[in-house]
Amino acid sequence: MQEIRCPWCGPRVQTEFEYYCDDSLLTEVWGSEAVQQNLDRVFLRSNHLGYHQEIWQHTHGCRGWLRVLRHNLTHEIKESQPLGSNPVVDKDGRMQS
Amino acid sequence: MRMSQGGLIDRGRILNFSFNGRSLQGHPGDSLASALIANGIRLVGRSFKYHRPRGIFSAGSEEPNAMLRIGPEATAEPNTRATQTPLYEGLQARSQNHWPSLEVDLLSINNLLSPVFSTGFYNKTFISPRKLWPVYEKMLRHIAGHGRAPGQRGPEQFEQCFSHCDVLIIGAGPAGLAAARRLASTDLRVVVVDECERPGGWLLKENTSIDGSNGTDWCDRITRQLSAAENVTLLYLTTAFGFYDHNLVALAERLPSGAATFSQRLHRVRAKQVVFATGSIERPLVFANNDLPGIMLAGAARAYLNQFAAKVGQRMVIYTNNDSAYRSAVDLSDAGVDVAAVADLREAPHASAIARLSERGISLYKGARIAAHGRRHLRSVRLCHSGSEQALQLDCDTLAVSGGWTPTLHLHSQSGGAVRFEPQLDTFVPGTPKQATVAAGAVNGLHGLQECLDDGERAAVTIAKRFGLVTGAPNGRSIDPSNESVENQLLFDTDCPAVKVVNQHKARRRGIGASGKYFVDFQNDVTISDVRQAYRESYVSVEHLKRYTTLGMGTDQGKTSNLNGLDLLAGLREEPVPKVGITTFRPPYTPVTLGLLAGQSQGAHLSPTRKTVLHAKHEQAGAVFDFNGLWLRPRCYLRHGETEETAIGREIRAVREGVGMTDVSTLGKFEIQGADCAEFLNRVYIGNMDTLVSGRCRYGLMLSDDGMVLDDGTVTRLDQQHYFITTSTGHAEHVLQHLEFLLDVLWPELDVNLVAVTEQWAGVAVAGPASRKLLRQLAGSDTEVLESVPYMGYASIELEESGQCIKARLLRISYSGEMAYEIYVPAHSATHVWELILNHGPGFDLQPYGMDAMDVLRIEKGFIVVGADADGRTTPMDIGMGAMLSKTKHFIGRHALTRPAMHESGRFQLVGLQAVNYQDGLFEGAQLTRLAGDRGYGASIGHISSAGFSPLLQRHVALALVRDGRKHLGQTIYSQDPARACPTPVGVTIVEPCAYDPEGARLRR
Amino acid sequence: MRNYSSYALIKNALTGNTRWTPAWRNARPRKNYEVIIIGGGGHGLATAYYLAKNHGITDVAVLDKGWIGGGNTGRNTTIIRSDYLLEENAGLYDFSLGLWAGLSRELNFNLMFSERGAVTLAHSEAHLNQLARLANAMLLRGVNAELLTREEVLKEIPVLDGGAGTRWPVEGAFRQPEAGTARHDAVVWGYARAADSLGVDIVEQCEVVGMNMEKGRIKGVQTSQGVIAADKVAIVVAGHTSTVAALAGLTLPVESHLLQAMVSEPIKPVLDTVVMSMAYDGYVSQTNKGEIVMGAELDGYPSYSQRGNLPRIEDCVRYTLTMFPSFSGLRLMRSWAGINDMTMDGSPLIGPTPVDGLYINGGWCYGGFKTIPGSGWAFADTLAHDRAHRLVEPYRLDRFNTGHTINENGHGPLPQHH
Repeated sequence: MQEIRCPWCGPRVQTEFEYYCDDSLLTEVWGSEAVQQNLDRVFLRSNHLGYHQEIWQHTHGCRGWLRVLRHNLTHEIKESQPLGSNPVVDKDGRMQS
Repeated sequence: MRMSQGGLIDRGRILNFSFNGRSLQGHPGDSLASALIANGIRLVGRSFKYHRPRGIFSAGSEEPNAMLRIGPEATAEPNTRATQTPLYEGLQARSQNHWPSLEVDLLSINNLLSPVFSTGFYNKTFISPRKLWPVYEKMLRHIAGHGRAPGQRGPEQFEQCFSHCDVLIIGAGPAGLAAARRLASTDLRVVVVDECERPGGWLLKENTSIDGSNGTDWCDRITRQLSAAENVTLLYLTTAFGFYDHNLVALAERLPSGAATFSQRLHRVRAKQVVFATGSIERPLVFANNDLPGIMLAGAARAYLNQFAAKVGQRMVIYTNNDSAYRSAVDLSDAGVDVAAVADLREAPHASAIARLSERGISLYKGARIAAHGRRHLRSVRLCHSGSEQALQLDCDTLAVSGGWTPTLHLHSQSGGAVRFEPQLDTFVPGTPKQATVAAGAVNGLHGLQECLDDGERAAVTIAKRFGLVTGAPNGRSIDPSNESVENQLLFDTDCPAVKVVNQHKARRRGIGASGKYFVDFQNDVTISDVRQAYRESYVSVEHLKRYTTLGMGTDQGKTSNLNGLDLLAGLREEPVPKVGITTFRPPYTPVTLGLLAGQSQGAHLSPTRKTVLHAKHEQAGAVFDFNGLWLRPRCYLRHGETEETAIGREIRAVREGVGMTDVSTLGKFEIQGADCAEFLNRVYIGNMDTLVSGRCRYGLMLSDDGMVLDDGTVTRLDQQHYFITTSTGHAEHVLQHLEFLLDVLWPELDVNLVAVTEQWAGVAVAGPASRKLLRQLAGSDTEVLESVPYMGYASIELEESGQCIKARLLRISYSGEMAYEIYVPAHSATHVWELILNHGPGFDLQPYGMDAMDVLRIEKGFIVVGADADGRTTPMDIGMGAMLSKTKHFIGRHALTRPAMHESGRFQLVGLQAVNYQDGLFEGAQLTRLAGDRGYGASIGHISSAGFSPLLQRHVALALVRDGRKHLGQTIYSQDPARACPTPVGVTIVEPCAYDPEGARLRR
Repeated sequence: MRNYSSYALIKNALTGNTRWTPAWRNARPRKNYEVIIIGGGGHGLATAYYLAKNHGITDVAVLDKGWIGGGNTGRNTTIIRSDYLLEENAGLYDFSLGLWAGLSRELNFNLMFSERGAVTLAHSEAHLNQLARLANAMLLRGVNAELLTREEVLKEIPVLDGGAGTRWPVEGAFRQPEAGTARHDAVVWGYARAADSLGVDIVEQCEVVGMNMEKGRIKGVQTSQGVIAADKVAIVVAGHTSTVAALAGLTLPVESHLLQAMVSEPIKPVLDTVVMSMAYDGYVSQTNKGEIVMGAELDGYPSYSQRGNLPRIEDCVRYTLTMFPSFSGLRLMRSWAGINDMTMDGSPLIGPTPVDGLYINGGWCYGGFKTIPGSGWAFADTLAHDRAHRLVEPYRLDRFNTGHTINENGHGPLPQHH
């Protein structure tokens, strides 16, 4: 089963995470959307076969959110990036980029 | 028959076991199969469809026939392979799938009727008359199925664990051991697994020698070295059954019987690199009556001899298309078995192989074709060959067959690795890997011992390189199998593939009597005729063939049948095998016990039970509990002699007339702090939360992106930049994730901190006209604070009793419609507060009340429960809260609410219901119709979403979602509840949801 | 075509079973058709059959990129029921169940439709009320449904553990007596044979790689076997609806997810009905061959791989063993996965698209197998008359824009929660 690298906790097994949504749900700037734009964003998905930027949460771990570049056929994970304002620090307290 | 010498069994100890009630003996080191063979047992089962007699066919996990029930009757495991069951003292084995007995099975009449039971027959019959189908079906079901499920759960316990390693080597045969030996010298953490009881793979089954010692001794030596190495773990009786994403391999380890607590252990291994040293499985030949007891794979025949010192029969013929089977001729002849002949499909076997035969006086027939004969077991073989016009008959009780070797590439394929057809070998071999793996040994189509050992070493070098390491053999020398004679190589002739279909007419002419069945899949009784028929009927893709004939769909998963079936199909389609394709390999490699997959997390331990910190208090007070999601909550508190109904009525009255207390700790709770928290809450809730002043509470409704009510709760402003919000019990987790998503993903620029404190804060609601009076007793110096808290207000307060102080958050919120206070304290103080309140209770006739009373109280007030009265299809307007929608700010769900359907007539709207006849009952789940007799599609105009009996109003109260309900206030409709045996519709009047104190005067006192 | 019967079996037995005729022709596609159906699964083949049978439209080709039935139809847990709550769903699902009952006869192919009932266990008062709502709705619309007491459930299903020792003791249950199971492959083959006998071309190994459109109207498709023109094209490719629709420039409210299922080794009959639960996300039944079929919820992440991971298999087995502890010693024989097209309201997408002449039937979430006959029937009518049939009209594509969503389970637009 998939191993996902939590930016804060390191590589962890998929059962610690939950997939939340596709990255395409995030394109809005609060309050700026027209109605149809909002409905398209909320309801439509490209659902293409290939790599997707996906939003996952480390629910059974640090509860941090990550953006994962993952292929929806091979399940290959290319990278995972931290989201939110919690900085990723190494064990000496230094911030990671 | 047992040889007096040789084999890897411990003759010093005897193990007693039984087969079909017959007492037998074997030795440690035996498998159940080898012990049966040593005891001369030839008949071990009946085939699935035709109930043909069957014997042991192989010596491994590919076994299609020897499926037995193992264990004491009540908990026996059905469908267990005798070839994979190590013998133990007291083992009870029974054959299955026959009636009345194994020897005399009346269901073998199916065999006579087999032409009628041709492939797919059940699709072509029992179609009419429809009424009889259930009868046919019952019959079919009884005939189907192999073993019986045990009547109760067995005593077996299963453990599960995770492991990590650098290299996982699957298979401890020559290639696996060679690779392990090489890698042991590095720092890498290596795990080696093998499905057998001891390592060695086919080294145990053959006569070989390596580096001067015989194969098994070499194997023991290497294994001792590996066991001593700190970085190497060895697991036996461990089957790698599934390869999952990112190099996660699932292992099923069987622990020796009588071992501590667990009988099996599931390992989920994350290996950085995996070596598939999974070997190959011998391929059967297909010929007339090739399923008779006494016919087995040539490799198995010599395995039983070499590893278990068990002779498979007295007089043997060997039928083969390759050189490896000649080893059986040599080994068995040298052990005293009368090897009558080798019948070779090929015209020109190797000269050295032929020499070995003539040395032992074994006849050789070239260009041979055979048919087997016998009834309950093999009696003779008739063959024709290129050396003569005449067919001849050879009496024999054993026939060892070999059609070549099929690499065991299941796991490689599961890992997504490509598979390549190798015409030289007439089989598939692993191609380019997809994940971090490498294949080594016989699985690559190699057969010579030298080749396999070398391949194992090569794999180790490759793997080490992937870690940036260099590895050398311990003493600088690579492994050298000495005296490797030519028979130790497999030489294969592509002109004679395993499925060389005997042309029946020609063969009959040549007198070998080739009528009879030609089995391709033993377990599911699939013959060549079946495959041909399927082809004729258009089931020409390999998956259709499999599903139509059930070839390869048995518990052996086609290990000895898939390739032959594929070959046959390719022949019929006149296309090369790789074009026809191969069926997909899916986990598990061999069947895995369900209990192992569940581990301990089943039954009572399936999911956690959540109890509030006050649980013990509830128990003490006589609570009757019910589930609310994962929570256990009190429904009511029973006093001596009470029924639940009486108790609930009493509790309701207490709240309305005196004072009651209830545990509200299960509500979701959050602390929201930061400069932007007002803005945040404004976006989340439909109402304006920025206008909420400190020290005040507000009801909050939040929506999903589709405009539907997600949850409701309370929002309390503790300070300018500090809010405390509550959610419903059932949606707490969902709301938490929703809010976290908003803050971390959508709006990270907002300066907001969110902490979930559902379990950290406990809550007790004290409700009733006497609530404030009671709390005055506890408020100590904060009495003024208590008095000044307005309805929907908040204060921080200290409760004290004999010098003890508990700081609490006091929220004057009411869910019951009476004057009420919700007291929130840190969880560790909860029991103390509960006791504190209780202690002052008697003077006010304070009573704890549970969920059922709470439900009636809120229904009387028309307050909703999200999940019941708002069910994910409900907008704020539907539940009468349209006025709460802010007009001045944007919030989640606002756009979706502008859609036309949100404002159309016909929507289900929240209303109250009152039975026309006061005595009539109203129940949650009843459907509603306009007229009493309305039936059919469109008859339902809604349903009762909440209901209960109100002792104060002396009638049932109910909330309902009714189409255009608000337009029909005062009208009579009908409640229909036929599912609960209420045959007559009940007339109900549509009323306002709030049935009690609609002005809210009691709340505001 | 009507040549399957016991008599035929015996007759053929006497002639060595060499005279059986092909169940369907593996046709080569012609240059044009009146209707092209993309997708040779249950829904596609049923649509073709009903086009021919009910509407006399036989100039039809069913194209499948692989072998027919190779997608979800060959991968589901074969449960057939119509215990759906919402009015919009009730019509179609009930109608479909009605067709199932006589389908073997109609197709002259035994689909092994076994009317053995489907039971949903209740484990709390809240569950009982929810199930009562469903039962009452069904009874009102004239469909058989009943509630069972705890004692009745345990008596009907002796092998079920509903006792106090388990996590969720059984409090009662709901049952639809006319629900059941069928052999999924047989459904594909039955419809294929019937459609073929009415003149429909079934073309396997024919992948659609492009759509030909002109001025907003469909003209035909480009395939791995050449260009084929058509007046109408229907996309009936469960699991790949988005990717095929994308060829026509359409974006859909669909996210494709993984759903696994598994079977145990075959054993003698021990479970006579389909069992589902309000508390456990698992469902269990036993095939006529004796295998225990088990399924559970989605893996939880989008995937086209048809290959699931271990955690959901473990969950599924845990639910099964919690309900049936005596199955603990049985073995898992095979596991597999399909691609569930999850829509944003849990209900399918059926009807015309913005491209004239291009129709869609997909997005079936969990409901695909049971609706094969009803969906095929109504969709054929839709294609024949160029407008959505009454039964499938609610499933129009633009319902998310207008707000007429059909949310059977009440979950929001996050598919993994459905």
